[in-house]
Amino acid sequence: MTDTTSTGGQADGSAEEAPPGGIHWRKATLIGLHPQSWHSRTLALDVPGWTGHLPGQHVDLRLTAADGYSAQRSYSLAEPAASSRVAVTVDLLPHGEVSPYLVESMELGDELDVRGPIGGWFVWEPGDPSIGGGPVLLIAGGSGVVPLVTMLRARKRAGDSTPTMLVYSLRGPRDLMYGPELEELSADLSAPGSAEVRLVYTRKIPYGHPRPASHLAIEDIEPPSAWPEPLAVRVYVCGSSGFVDHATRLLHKAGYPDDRIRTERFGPTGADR
Amino acid sequence: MSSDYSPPATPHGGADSGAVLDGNAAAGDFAGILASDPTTVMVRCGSCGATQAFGQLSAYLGGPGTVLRCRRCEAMVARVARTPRGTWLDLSGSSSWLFLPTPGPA
Ligand SMILES: Cc1cc2nc3c(=O)[nH]c(=O)nc-3n(C[C@H](O)[C@H](O)[C@H](O)COP(=O)(O)OP(=O)(O)OC[C@H]3O[C@@H](n4cnc5c(N)ncnc54)[C@H](O)[C@@H]3O)c2cc1C
Ligand SMILES: [Zn+2]
Repeated sequence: MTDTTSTGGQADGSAEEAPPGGIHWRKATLIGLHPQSWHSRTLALDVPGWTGHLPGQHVDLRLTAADGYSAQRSYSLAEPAASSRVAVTVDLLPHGEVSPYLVESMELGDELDVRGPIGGWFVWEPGDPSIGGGPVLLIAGGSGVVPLVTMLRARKRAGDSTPTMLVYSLRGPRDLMYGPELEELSADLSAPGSAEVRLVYTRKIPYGHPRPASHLAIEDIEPPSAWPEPLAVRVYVCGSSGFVDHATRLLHKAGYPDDRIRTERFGPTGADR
Repeated sequence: MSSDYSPPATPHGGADSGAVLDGNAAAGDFAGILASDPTTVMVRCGSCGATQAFGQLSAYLGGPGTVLRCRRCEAMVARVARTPRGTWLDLSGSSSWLFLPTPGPA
């Protein structure tokens, strides 16, 4: 864009105004902390004025230091909508700028800015007519499991019985997020809201796990025998960019057309988280 | 802010530069401008004519602006840059944006 004629608008860099019906930064207070694995935790925030969200959407969080420097990152909504409560689950990147602060330093009562909910594309609401009777395949790498678990929670809450399988790739037992919840979800596959869960360990398996450690392979995304058809009508893939690229290649090999696949890339590197 | 968040030695705004993400990741930037959820908008690439959801485009964050590229031909279809003079929205790489009616909140 080379046009230099001023056309008015905000040229002074002042605070963003809230566009009507759009999203804008809101003040939030940390009201809950729950560990999820050795290096991740769920942060629950109270966000006055929050008007709800859909499973799969995300928020932007902004932290501002005393000198005014600020950093912002995106985090998937970790719980289905419930009044002004907004939760995120953050995995620690050891040399990261923002995640160590969220996972290790923040304390109850701390404040930060939240913008959202964002995105209606990477979303699965129970009863979505474009999904119909399913089946639905969810593929997670590392913390990419967060929005997919939110989808599973919303589905369970709604008593939805669309055949669903979660394939969750992670490095080792210490990296497992939502372990007890996933076990319960897959314990009785005839219960409403239940889902088949396949854990794909890439480096280290827990004692007795039937699958040896290796990267996600085409067998891991083969349909469970109970599925009415071999291909899911919708696939959600979430994780690092490397993981999502890898999973997308496997899906193409398995015969999935692009219009059945929805992806969310969290960051640049790593095939297994 | 009341917490003790301290900045790093070399501040860089936004997410890591050079990372290729999905349009979803850029949606916060565009939603602040478009006043509605951009991720479900069907965008037609001005170079190759492919139509894809905004959420499917390749997103490049962390540079001087947020850039969206066509997943098929890699051409730039949209860009947002925030400068002291104001916010630039450059859609010259796209030939159309179809806003579908959305059901629930977005
Ligand atoms: C739409 C969206 C939703 C997201 N949801 C979640 C979520 O629910 N939970 C969550 O924990 N994270 C999520 N992320 C990732 C998150 O936004 C941050 O990128 C992450 O927390 C790292 O930030 P950081 O400041 O700690 O690291 P940075 O300082 O940004 O990066 C530190 C180093 O790690 C590398 N890096 C950055 N991201 C990743 C990654 N994902 N994997 C491997 N290496 C990386 C960088 O290249 C850099 O070298 C999401 C990202 C997007 C775009
Ligand atoms: Zn193109």
